[in-house]
Amino acid sequence: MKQTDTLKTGEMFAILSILIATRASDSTASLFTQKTQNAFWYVPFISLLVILPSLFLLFYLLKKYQDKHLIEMMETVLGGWGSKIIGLLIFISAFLLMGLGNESYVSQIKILYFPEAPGITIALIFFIVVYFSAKKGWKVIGFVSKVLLPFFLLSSVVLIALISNDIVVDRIFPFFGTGMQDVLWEGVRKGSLFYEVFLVTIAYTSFEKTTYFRKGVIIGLLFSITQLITFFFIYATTYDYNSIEKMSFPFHDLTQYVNIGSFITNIETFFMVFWILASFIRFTIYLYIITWIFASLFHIKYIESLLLPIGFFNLIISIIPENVIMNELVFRDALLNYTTPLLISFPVLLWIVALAKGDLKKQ
Amino acid sequence: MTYKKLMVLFLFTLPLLTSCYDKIELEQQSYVVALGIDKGEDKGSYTFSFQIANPEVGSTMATAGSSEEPKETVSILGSDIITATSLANSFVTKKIMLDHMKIIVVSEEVARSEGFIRVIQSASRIPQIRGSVQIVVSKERASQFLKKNKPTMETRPHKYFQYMLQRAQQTGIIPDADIHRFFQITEGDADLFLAIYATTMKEENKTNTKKDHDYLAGEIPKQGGNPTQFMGSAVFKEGMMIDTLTGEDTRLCNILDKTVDMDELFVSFPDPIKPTYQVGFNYAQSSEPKVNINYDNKANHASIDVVVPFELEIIAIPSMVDYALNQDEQNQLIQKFEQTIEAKTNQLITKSQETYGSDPFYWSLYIRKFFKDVPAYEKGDWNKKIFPNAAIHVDYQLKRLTFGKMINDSKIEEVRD
Repeated sequence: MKQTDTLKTGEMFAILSILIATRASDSTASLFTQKTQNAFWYVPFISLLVILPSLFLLFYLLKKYQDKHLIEMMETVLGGWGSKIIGLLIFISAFLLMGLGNESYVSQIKILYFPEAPGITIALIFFIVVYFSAKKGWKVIGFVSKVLLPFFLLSSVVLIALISNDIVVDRIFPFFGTGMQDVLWEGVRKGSLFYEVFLVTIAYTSFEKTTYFRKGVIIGLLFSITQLITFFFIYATTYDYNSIEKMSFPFHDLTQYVNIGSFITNIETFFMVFWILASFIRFTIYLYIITWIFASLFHIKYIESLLLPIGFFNLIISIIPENVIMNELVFRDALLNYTTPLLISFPVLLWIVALAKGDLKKQ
Repeated sequence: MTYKKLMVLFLFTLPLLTSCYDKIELEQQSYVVALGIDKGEDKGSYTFSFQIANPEVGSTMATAGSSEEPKETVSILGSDIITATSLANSFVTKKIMLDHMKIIVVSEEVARSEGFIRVIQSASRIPQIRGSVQIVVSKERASQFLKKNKPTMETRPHKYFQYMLQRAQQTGIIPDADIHRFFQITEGDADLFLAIYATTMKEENKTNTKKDHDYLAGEIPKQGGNPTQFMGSAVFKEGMMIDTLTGEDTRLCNILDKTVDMDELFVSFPDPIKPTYQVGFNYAQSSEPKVNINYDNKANHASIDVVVPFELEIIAIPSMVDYALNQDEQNQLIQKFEQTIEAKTNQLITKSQETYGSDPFYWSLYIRKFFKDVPAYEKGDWNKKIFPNAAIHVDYQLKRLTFGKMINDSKIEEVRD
């Protein structure tokens, strides 16, 4: 184990790619189509544009206050109480989003691959795997992401190659889906699609040089948005706008549809292996990050000892929603909408306070 | 100490051997290859027929002297596919799995009823049924179709259906009709969906005056072989069957639809110089047809120009006219061919404009870019307003003409002097 090595751009890139690009394979796409129909494929791009100014502002602040991660920086700027309130808000929304995301993945596994197994058992196994991987620590998570990312990419390339015959590009027209306003508004409201980029700033100082972190985030972000849009584009062009709307899991419908020639049929399990590995890593990263935020909020030194309680509460959250459709279309939809203003506003708030205090002029 | 630890470890690994909830042995499953849907006695009930493959037949593992049938067909009443499978388990020994299903056979009676879309709907809800399952409409009851179908060469039913449909689709006489496509087109609510038309019944009283591929399933004059014929297509409008198209018309649809691949087409048509003979061609689509739509927004009127580039290879000239070297005769031949195929296409288009009120060519794809958003597109109404009134012009353009590996046929005068 190369524990002593330090994290570099590659690891950051892999972590962010797994956090965001795996969204292409869950039910985010069907969530978007409910309000935008066939225009959903470029909605992530609008969301990114909306979130980008705040993101750059946050990066600018992190650069100014050297050697401090998100929470430490907030404490320096806002003082004890202010930072705790905002930090808790960030933590709670991330915690809930993870819980609901967890539910979504567990039901995908249950409905598509293990229909007989009880949901709780699958959730428990999921939790155990995620917990023990997170316990290995941040560096191992980084290395594992970097090692496995090429395989995930390879499997998506195979899938794209197999489906490319069924793509009918004309299906992206009419270009504005339900109407330009609706699409733009949906894009704005779903800015929280890139929540993870804000969350990983907690790891700002864990890299050998902070430039590695910044570089990794920017490349990772560019890459993830490309992958998200590519996959959404494929969904929009293989299914039509009326059909995509009623699908819960477009990714799995795709893997069930493709065949390699006429001899190798029913190959979805091949993609499922990579998909499930990616989701394990995704939730491992997620669990570690939110525990890290929680720990640094209350100045707790040992993150690893908090993983179990936080992970367990998350498991409980994840079994509350009755079914995946309620979870996805009602709870997660609302939560994503409410989180966006928080993400857009808190870096601005930090910046205004820092400006007023005169911190930004010193350096 | 280490010994004890090892023992504990062993004890904990024991439960793993029972494996998970979804473990099922291959031996405990019955693989359904074809599913038939017929009308039941009362409304909302259907008869489902499952054709179950016997995996032992045809495999190298089969023990000598095994006299089991390659397939078993059972029919049962039910309201939807999955609940019918569990009822069928009262006399089918193993768990019925639909994962390897190749086709769904629907009787024409069900296809023409409005209940068809309701019963097929559950196919997209359950993950077991793939999007690549083909929809076949049978003239007779589906259960009868499945029972009568007796392939002699390809006795394993999954291979039979797979190869049969694959080959027929390559020649273009049946459409590509998977469930995925059915839902795209039906839910898109603009075009007509073509399902495969098949039967095991032979049409006796029809006179065999038809030429080339202008047949429907059951009409093909043939002797020997499996009684099942896959030919032509069933036209579905808004999820309901409204008509049938012959093999030839289905080919034209496949040519004009850019989302369908077609490998080779062998056609014959009357020799322009000696009309008693037929000339045989291998028609190849060199590139997808260019559909150019001019849309007038105010009048909601479209004029559609279609250019179909194609290549021809002459495979038989029984009249032995020297088409290869005589430029004049060659031009006549080409002109006649283009005229004939254009006339047939125009006939089909007029039929779909006037009788069907929608198109089986998936042309609504081209009109989409003229609309800003979906509400405007749906208001424009392709299948009720735009297409039936559109001015359509089809132009077939020959790109290449080849003559196989011969320059010329035997000189008939010299042979018979």
